Amino acid sequence: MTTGRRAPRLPAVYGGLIRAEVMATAGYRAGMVVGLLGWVIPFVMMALWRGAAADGAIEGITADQFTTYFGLVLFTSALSLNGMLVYDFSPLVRDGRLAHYLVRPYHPFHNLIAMGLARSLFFGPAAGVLLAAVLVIVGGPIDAGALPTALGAWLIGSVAAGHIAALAGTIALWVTEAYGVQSIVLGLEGLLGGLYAPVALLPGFLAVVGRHNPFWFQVGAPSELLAGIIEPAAGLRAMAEGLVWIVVLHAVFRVVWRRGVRQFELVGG
Amino acid sequence: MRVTLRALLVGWRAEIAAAAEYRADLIVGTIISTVWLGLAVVPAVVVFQYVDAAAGWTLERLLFLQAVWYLMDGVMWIVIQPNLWALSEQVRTGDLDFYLLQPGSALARMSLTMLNPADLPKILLAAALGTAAIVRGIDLTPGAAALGFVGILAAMVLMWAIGVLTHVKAITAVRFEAGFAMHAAHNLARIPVTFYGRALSAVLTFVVPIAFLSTVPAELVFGARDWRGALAAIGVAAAAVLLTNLAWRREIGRYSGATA
Repeated sequence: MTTGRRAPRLPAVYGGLIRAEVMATAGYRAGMVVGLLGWVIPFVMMALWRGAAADGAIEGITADQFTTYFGLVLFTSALSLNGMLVYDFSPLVRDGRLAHYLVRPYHPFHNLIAMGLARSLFFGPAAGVLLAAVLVIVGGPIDAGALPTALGAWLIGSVAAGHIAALAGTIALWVTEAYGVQSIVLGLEGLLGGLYAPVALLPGFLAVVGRHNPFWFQVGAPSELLAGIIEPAAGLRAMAEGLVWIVVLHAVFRVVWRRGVRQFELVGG
Repeated sequence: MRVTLRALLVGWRAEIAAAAEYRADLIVGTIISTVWLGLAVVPAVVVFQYVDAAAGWTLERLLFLQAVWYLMDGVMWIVIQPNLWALSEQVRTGDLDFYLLQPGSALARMSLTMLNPADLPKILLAAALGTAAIVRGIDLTPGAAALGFVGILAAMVLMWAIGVLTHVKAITAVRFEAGFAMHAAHNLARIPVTFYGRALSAVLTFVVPIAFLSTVPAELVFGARDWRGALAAIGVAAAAVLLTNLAWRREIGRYSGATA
């Protein structure tokens, strides 16, 4: 960069980007209503597992705990930026806009993160109201004492899982039609994050993998903690593992990004 | 009607022939579809590790319902999604006018012309899962098979109608985006509506007929419903087509072509 200006600090960049994106998102009120309908899978899984647990607890998890668990899965999924990081990078590569982002003084993924945060700010309160309504109407206990651990696991898990999502997004630097392969990453996120079932209920090695991956730290762990399915100690362990994942994934991302950008051929340039 | 059908068949044949040229895409499509089918059946398989039956449904019956649901998923991604995603772009560029000027049903041409062959394996995979569920433990009589076939055809028509109804507003409001509603309706059909409780189950049967996308066709196959169930499925599909036609005519009546 030879503009002669100092590069802006990242918090200031985020402030500006998020303000702009919130205004853009707020323009689509109808989009918000139909967006809420898109969170239907946790609700479907809640109905399935409540039906299965109607005659008695499954592995110690009661029907009401399933309500809390899937209600929180809905909430944490709604706040997740992973979908945006996986899918919204490809169009930048395809139509050449990435070239513009590359000359900016901050990483192109900061733009996508800001867009995701703006969307979360917009949808978050609605998801919170929906969660409260489900817990009150259907009935689900919350272990408020687990809130700090759950928040920590969610934050650390979000950063770690965000790195995996960004890595999946960069596939677009090598493959023109990356949508199908990228969709598998989000499918695995659903399975290993606990979207379909609390991971402890998954069969065999999936239950083990489920307990040690960033998607679970982000979605499943906070939900299980607040539903009283796991003890706070498991949440602390998830936080510690999540920090290790962040360090490793960040190093991997830097290498992949450097190589990927070298692959990038400017469209129309 | 015949003109429209012939035009659609010619177009589809050309799309499939073109897709056959890219075998690698079909192989990748098959792998991805198989992974998604695996993910779709995970909840049912995991639930039945712990219980023998849930809300009156056995594992085999739930797997058959998953097969019907996955078939609807295929219909959505192969036909509905590619055409309806393009609608607002067609309005912006004026390409919609070409459909309106051609002979036959403009609604059918607009909503059914394009195919996404990469997802065609979903149909075979759904059939394989349905067959496996029947072999595993569903007593299938010829009468129930015939009624089930009718129910599945009606479900496909209903899926198409839901797709059109959630997108047709884009003709007069170009930035309208309600694709989430179609996906929500489709995802609600992943499990039998009886799992949602009595009140919601009634809503999903009589108000928003999600039950007819998967629950009713599956119940027809294993004999839990008789010919009246099939008749109801036909009635719901016919009503949905009627509603879709009304909505289409209303929007087209207000439409002013970009090339006019």
